[in-house]
Amino acid sequence: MIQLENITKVYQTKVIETTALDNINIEVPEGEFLSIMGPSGCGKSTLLNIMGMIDEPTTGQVTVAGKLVGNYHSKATARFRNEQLGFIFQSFHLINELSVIDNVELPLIYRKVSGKQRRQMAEAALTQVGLSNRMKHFPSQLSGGQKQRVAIARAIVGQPRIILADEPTGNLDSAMGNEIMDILMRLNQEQGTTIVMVTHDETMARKTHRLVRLFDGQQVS
Amino acid sequence: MFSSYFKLAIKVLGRHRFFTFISLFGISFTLMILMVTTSFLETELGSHPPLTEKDRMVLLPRLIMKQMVTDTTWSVDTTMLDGQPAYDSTFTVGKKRQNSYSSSSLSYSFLDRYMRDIPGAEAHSFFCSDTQFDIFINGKKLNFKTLYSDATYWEIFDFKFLAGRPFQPSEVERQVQVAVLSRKAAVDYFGTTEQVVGRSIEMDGKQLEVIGIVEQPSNSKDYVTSEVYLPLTLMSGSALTETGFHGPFAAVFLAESPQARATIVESIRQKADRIPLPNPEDYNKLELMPATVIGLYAYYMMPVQDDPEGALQMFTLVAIGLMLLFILLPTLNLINLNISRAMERSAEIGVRKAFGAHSGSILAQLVFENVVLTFLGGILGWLFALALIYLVNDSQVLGDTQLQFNTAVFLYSLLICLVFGILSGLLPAYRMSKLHIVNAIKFNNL
Amino acid sequence: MIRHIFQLVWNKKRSNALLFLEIFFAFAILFLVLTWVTRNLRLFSTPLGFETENTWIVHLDFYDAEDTLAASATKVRLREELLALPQIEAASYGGDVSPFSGSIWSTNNDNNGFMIQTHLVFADEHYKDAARLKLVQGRWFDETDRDARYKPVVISKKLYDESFEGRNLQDSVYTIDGENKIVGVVDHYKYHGDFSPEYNVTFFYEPSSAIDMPNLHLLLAPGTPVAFEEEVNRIVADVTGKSDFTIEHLQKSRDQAARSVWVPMISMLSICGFLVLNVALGLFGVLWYNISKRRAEVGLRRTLGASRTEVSLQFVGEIMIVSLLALLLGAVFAVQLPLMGVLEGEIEAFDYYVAMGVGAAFIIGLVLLCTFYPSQEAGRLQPAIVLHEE
Repeated sequence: MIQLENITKVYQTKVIETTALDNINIEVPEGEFLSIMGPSGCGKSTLLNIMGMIDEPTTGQVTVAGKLVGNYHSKATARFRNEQLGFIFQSFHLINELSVIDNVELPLIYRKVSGKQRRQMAEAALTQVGLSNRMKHFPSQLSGGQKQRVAIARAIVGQPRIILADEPTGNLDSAMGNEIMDILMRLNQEQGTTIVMVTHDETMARKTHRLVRLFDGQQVS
Repeated sequence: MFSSYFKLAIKVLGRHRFFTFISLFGISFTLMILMVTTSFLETELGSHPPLTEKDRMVLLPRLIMKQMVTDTTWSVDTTMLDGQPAYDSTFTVGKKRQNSYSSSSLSYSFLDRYMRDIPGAEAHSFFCSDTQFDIFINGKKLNFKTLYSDATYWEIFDFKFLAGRPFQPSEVERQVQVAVLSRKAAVDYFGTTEQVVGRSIEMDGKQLEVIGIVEQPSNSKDYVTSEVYLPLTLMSGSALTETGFHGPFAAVFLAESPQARATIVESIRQKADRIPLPNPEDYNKLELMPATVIGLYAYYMMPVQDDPEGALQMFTLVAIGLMLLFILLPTLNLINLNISRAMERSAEIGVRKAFGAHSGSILAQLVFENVVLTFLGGILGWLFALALIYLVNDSQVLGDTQLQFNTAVFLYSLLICLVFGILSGLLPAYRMSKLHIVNAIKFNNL
Repeated sequence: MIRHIFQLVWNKKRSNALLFLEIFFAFAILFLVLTWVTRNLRLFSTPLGFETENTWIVHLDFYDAEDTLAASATKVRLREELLALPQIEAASYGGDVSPFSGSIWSTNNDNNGFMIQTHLVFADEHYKDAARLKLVQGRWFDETDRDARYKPVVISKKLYDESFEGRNLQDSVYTIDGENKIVGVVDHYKYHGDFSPEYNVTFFYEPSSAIDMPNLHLLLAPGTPVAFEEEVNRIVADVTGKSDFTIEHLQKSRDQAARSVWVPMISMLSICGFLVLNVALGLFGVLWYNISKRRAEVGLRRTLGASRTEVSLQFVGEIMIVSLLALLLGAVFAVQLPLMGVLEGEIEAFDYYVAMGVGAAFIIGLVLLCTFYPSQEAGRLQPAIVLHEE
């Protein structure tokens, strides 16, 4: 589903040159639930960003869902990202001024789906994460776990084939974290969604199919 | 402590240069306009020579004659009663309406006959400011506005004499050919104001001896501003003797106090009702229009008829409305900018509160900072205002009116700055001061 | 998408309220000032109808003359002597009401079965040449009018259109000021000033010799030197024996009358301009800060598939909606003025509507200009960076 070949990412500031990723090669087959672990600053998030086509590698090739990614800034890439990928972030990144259901509908707005259909799809996604009774609430009225569930609903509302999760349980306590993990596992098992998850938590990582460790930008296992 | 707050305020402003620039631009320009407007109003309506006693003056510039008619209807109803026609007539008197209207300044004979004993008037003067003469001298043409008056004119209006003196009652009576010149007229005619007294000018076929030179009034009111001032007995023709009510004259009355003006106004109005009209077939109602100095000023600006006091009310309303509207936009702008900035300072506010500052002192600090900003803008605005005033005076775009920036204007401006600063700082400061410590320190996401 | 932006704006009512108010009041001020400006420009563009360049008026006064016959003769003689000079092309005597003087004589009646409302101006048979009036119907006064049975008058086309509406004026008598025969219709006579409305005018005939026609209008040949005035002054003084007359330069009076409108108008416009500039800068600043607070949101949207343009347009759209709503509210208030006919006669509905349109267009243009750059910058934010900023 995702192929990264000889990926290198170097950050240039005026004074320093930092290598975030050094010659990474990873292939994620369809339906796999992959975990990426490593200490802070080892490039995990960068790797996820590159997989998600929101960051451009300095050298190397990225192929997602069979398509070789060329221009990272084009409209076509944006559309492609909208259709194929779903994102989940550690700090949720919900829009506080929109209600829960409006937050979930957001990817569909960029897909130009009609109002009625959007609503139906969003309601379905919220039901899937168990939040159908909180549709009109606002993020400020939800707990951390509920917010992340809304984020997951947003990530799956367009039925993407790949979900990229950046430390999804990082801001949650263990009980909530387990709930989130369960939802992700269910998604992967029941719908065959490919999931790549960056995490600090070894116990969470053990539940997934495969674990890749990064250290200083290099793959170590 | 005050100076530390001040230094802090300056530092804060320096941190966000773009915001400070925008705010200063808006504030300084707004304050510049307000200061120039204040200066303008102060010059036009303030008590400067020769109108130092303006608050005791009542002017009488116009006399109005109307013909009021009542429409009457006579209707006859014819009915049959016992085979005989019966007539039922109704005579209805309608409302009064105005058929003819004539409004103009007054004649000397009218003033002389009816306006010399107005109760409440300490002094009175009659004058005519409507005349001009062309003079050809040294190949150039001068057009001198000429004001004819009696001697009391100079007692009521306190002109500043650069040289010489005004004419005396005896000179007026004996029709002595003397003249008082304005400074500008002296320079135009003689090229200088030095040693002009005693020389003569030739005007209207007469030789007039210059006995005094006066300073230009700082604002152009046509009843005090002129190039030449002459005794009214020098007027040619029948101006003094014509018997109609209309003519080129006006009158001014001096009351004992500003409150006593009302007595004069009332007396004049009542007198108008008692004066018999010369030709009642043409006009059957007489009205006099007395006005205060400020009332007359407003009258010329507002689209009202014959009602200086109404005009003054309208003028005040419009002026206040415009001022408020004008200040409103920059204030809203500033509030908006301040609120936008608020979140950036929330961490600092939270820390201060954590270390013991209460909401009130945060509020005071923020308002103080805003007032400092406003005063900085005020200083800039003051500089711009001075420059603008200089330009306006230099280019004579307002005619003879010379704007001044005196103590009164300065104090008003200070007040405006203060009010402006507090108004625009209060709302954002209030909201910021109420921030909960915990929320303030934690940095927000979206 | 538009619904989505509406949603965003609506949910952030409170923080958008200030911007809303600013735009509303800016529109209000623009509307008021532009109405005044439009009215003035509209009036300025209507023709004056008479000559003002190279025109002088000698203000004489014969009311005190004891021997009125001699005074009349003097008047006629003066005119002839001046006309003999090559620099003077036409000369005519007029009444006390002269252009730009501010004096008005008016009358109205409905004795003819319809309403006639008009100003009165007295002129002799030479005035048409001295003022270069244009006739659209009939003729100007001539000698046959001296002993006419019905007093002849010439009316302005405005009065004709308003009260006579296509009637044939030939051989008809109407009551205007007594019984009058209308002998001609003049194109325009806007004698109060460039910025005043054109009032209905009726010219009444008085011969040159009449005592109550004291103002001598002189039309000079173009290029006449300034020094000529002293010669005219001398001739007038010699012929009439008077010394208290003045010579008015009509163009100068016209300019002065116009100035009393130009100066305040330009001042108002300048102040208006700076106020609006103030709002623009403020808008720019607010938008800048707004976007800098919402960087993460931009990153999120880009991740979800929004293109750069879509992100830019979203920010522009938010501000535009607030502005349009504010303009709508402003228009609701503004449109009351023409509908209620406020200051009718001075200000026409046309002025109000033009001012509304221009004001709204200007504000929209300004808003677009100010939001363009910050929203472009927003679109260019890199999602990878902004999403991980804290």
